[in-house]
Amino acid sequence: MAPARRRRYNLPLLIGGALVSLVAATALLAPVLAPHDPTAIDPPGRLLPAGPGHPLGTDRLGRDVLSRILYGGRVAVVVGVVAVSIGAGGGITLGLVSGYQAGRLDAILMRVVDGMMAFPTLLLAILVVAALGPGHVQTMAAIGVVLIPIFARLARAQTLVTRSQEFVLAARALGARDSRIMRAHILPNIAGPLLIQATVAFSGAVLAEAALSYLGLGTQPPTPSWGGMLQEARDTLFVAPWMAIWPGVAIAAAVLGWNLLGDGLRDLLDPRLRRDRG
Amino acid sequence: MPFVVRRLLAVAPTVLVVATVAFFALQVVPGDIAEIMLGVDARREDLAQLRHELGLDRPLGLRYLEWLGHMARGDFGMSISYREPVMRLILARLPVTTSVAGGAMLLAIVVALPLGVIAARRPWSVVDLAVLAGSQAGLAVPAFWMGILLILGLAAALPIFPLQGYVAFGSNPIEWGRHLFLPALALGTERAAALVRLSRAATLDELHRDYVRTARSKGLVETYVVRRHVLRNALIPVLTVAGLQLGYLMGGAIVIEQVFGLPGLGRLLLHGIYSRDLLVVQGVVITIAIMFALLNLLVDLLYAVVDPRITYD
Amino acid sequence: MKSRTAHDLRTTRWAWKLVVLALFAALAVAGAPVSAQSPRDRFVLALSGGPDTLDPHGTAATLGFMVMKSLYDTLVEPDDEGKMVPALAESWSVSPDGITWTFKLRPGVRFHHGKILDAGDVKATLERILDPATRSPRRLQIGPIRSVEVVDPLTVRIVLEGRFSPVLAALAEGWGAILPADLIARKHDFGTKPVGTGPFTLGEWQRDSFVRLQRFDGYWIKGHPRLREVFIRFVPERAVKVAGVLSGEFDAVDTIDPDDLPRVRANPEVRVITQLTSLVNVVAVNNSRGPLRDVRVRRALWHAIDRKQVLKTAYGAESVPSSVFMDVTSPYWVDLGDPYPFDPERARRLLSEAGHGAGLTLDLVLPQPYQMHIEAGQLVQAMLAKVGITARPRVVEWAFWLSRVFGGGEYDLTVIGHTGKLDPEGRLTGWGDSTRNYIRYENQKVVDLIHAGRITSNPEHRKRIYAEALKIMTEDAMMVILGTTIRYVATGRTVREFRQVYAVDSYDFRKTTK
Repeated sequence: MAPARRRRYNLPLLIGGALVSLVAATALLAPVLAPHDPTAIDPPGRLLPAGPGHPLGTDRLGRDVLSRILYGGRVAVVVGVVAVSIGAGGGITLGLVSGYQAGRLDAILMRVVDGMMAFPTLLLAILVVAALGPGHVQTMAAIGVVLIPIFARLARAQTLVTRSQEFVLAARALGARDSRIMRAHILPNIAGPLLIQATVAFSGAVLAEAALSYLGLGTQPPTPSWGGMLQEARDTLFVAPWMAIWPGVAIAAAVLGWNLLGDGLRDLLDPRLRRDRG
Repeated sequence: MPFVVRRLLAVAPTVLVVATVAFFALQVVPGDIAEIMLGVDARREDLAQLRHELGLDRPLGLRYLEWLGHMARGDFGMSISYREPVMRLILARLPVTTSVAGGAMLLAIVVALPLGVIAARRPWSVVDLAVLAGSQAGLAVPAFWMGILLILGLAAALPIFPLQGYVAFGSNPIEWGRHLFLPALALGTERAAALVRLSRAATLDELHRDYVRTARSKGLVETYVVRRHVLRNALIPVLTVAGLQLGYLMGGAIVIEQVFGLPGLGRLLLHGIYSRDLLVVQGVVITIAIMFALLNLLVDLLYAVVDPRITYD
Repeated sequence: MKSRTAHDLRTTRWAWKLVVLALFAALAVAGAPVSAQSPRDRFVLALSGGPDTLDPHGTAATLGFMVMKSLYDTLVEPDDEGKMVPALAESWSVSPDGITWTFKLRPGVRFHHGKILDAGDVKATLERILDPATRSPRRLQIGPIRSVEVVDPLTVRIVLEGRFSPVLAALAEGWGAILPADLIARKHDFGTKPVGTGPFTLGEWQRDSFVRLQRFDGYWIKGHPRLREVFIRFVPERAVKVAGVLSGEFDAVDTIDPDDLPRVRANPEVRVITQLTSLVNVVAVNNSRGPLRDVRVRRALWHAIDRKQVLKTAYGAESVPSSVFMDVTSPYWVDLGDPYPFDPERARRLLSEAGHGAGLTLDLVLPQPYQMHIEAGQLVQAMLAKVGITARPRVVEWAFWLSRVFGGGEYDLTVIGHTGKLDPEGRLTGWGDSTRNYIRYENQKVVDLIHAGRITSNPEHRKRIYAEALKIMTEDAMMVILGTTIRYVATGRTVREFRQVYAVDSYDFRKTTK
């Protein structure tokens, strides 16, 4: 069942890693790299096409698009990190406990998780933001909450498999406490698939933040965010198309990076599981 | 069919919980519908009066019970801002959202299935790598940005498709298709990218099965084998996943409706949230959840049909 | 065996090709551009949004009244200068004490369902608005009506609780639309099946998509409307609207973006009409908040903000600056020049006089989804920073803004536009009484003047009274007034008499031709 020819290099991992590092580095170094203050307003210099002073042009208030994209990367990275932390932290805990204890707790928790899975994720995120009010922090919380059931399911399934393996049974026979078994024995053994899931969740979080900001529910002006920039571009689509193109390129690059990294990790961690996601 | 009933009943409590949470959450956020209706002309006395007339000054619990009562009678209540039964509003918009989601899925399948099969026949060839790269690119492009790019590109180069709006199938099927094409394309691209990988993987799996080897050894022409056996068997997982993802597409449609100005469920939901028209939000949430559950159910049943080993009792 | 397979192969390949061909053919048919231009008697307008209901007594939404203007009529209506002229009422008179208003109705006016308009319809309509069960958001603004009496079939008398000069203006607003008494009695659903005396009847309405209006042949102005059909498409995206008017798909579009003007003006097939709106855009200042209580600080804000720059950048280059809280098109507008010119140095001096030389931090709330206010706010923030005021912008959802800022006064600064009313009373009521306006502005003299204006019927006297009130409000620098926005409307070259009705922000298609 091995493919006809094996690739010599893990190309997805390399490209994905490079892209992700690029996005992270530019976000981190935005203050150094950005040619302008991303919120500096210059009315006479509004809607300028790409030129020497502004490599990617300016927006409706004369702000530098490149600088805003660089700073927007910070928003994307922060939202991704926080949301995935919430989702992974909450989901893995739930899944571990649920899968390890089994029984009634498992039944109840999984019912809750199934319930949350009964809605399209974006709809759920919109509802959470609607309840919390639009904003940066609220967006992170919303995306984090939406990610919880995804991690919980995976962690539970993996725990169920690991639970009855010999080393766990041995640890239990030796009288180790449940919490310790979960932390020291099960978690390290199921970390691989969870790590892959986390990279995929990262790209999902970037996409979700962009969509929410595009709808006006996410990061609010004047803080630059990629989705918000696309929203601002709508009114002047034909006059200043660069406002609509470059932030989208940034989103695509970040998402591509995380997706490739996830694929590469999958190849690396579990060659047997070389199966493409649907 | 007791299984079907059981599945629906299993979804009911979660739907109810989400709707309940939405009901109370939207009470906590600032702003109510009376303020929205009166806007910047609101005078304090007018506001109090309108709240009273809309029944907004009654206890929350009572209003919740009232809503439950409506629900029990299969009625979503009246929208305050539209002054119309929520059910009527939803029924008018459901075809829009399902058309967009269904159209997107159709485009995705039409594009993804053949590409996946072609790619799988020569793994790691140039064609295969190109398809894989294209699929990665497609997965990275947010649907709403795709929509913006389509508007930008097509308006300038090819003014064939209308950029906005919707025409019902019943009133003009051709116009319906023209209006749906761009939104479906924008939404379908990402799905196509995902399905390509699936159809490629499924085809690869099939190609390595014994019967294919047998057929090959019998000297059957490659293309014939692929078309006759492989395609049919690879189709099953692709179609089931596609069905499953139709529900997710309904979520994606929310944003696409905004880009193309389509009067679908997503726009209705956002209007309900922005104008604090609670019953509208409730109605849409429940409708989407039910659609989602029905689709999942359908896929499960489909599995049983295509694979006799699976039974539900 | 082998030959058979090959044959099979050929036929299947054929089948595939056929399928692909058919698909392309279908696409080509579906994609064939329909003739962009519609017939001469069909008018297509692109509007930013649609109505929520077509019941004139069920909404306060401007977009709703834009459509309803063509379905219903009012007793009187404003002309281009804002003067009240006869509509369903041919003439009217008022008793010397200003309490009793008598209207003579136009004979022979027909409703869409055939009924002839009479005084009973007016009585039933006004009573419907006043009935709490109707839940009209405008119930209290129709005026202090005590009773409505039918004198004879064509004469109706309205008796007020007290003197109230803006009665005519209130009846001319969109929510003063007259409905037929027989359908009111039957609790007809006007929201989706409107019946009025208007120039058009409802053909089809698809919410958030379009509304199709058809000529009402029995309209009371003979030979009008000229158009057979008005098709109003709801297009929220400004860029798409512009693309549509340029391609000829739309005969007219409301509000095009100033940035699109060069492109639109370059097209000889399109005409741009500039119209002043009735909006007054302001940087509202919460007069009850700490340092903002000091008039010197509020004046410093005027000096610190380059009002013309903000207005031009955020609201369009041709917007008209104003220093008073009245739209420049209103007959009640007064020219005070530029009382607090842009002068950051002076602003800084005033601030240090007030004890804030070291700087000041203020909260600046901006309402989503109003892009122009958000942009104006960001400009204001940058300008205030130059005089040592740190404005912290906070973008909030419209419902939040209405509730917390407008209703609760929880803000320091905010940017907003105030819509106009036909009568200055509508705009000014509440100002000067800190419990009744959201900027918490307190000045008894202003309250007294506005009250005097309300009960004075002589227009010249009213003008003088309101001018005095406006002057005091600006002297108090109650908020930073920017000015009135210009609106750019684009129409096809041949479109004539596409009228915008003063101050009520609606379109009149009765005489429109193309």
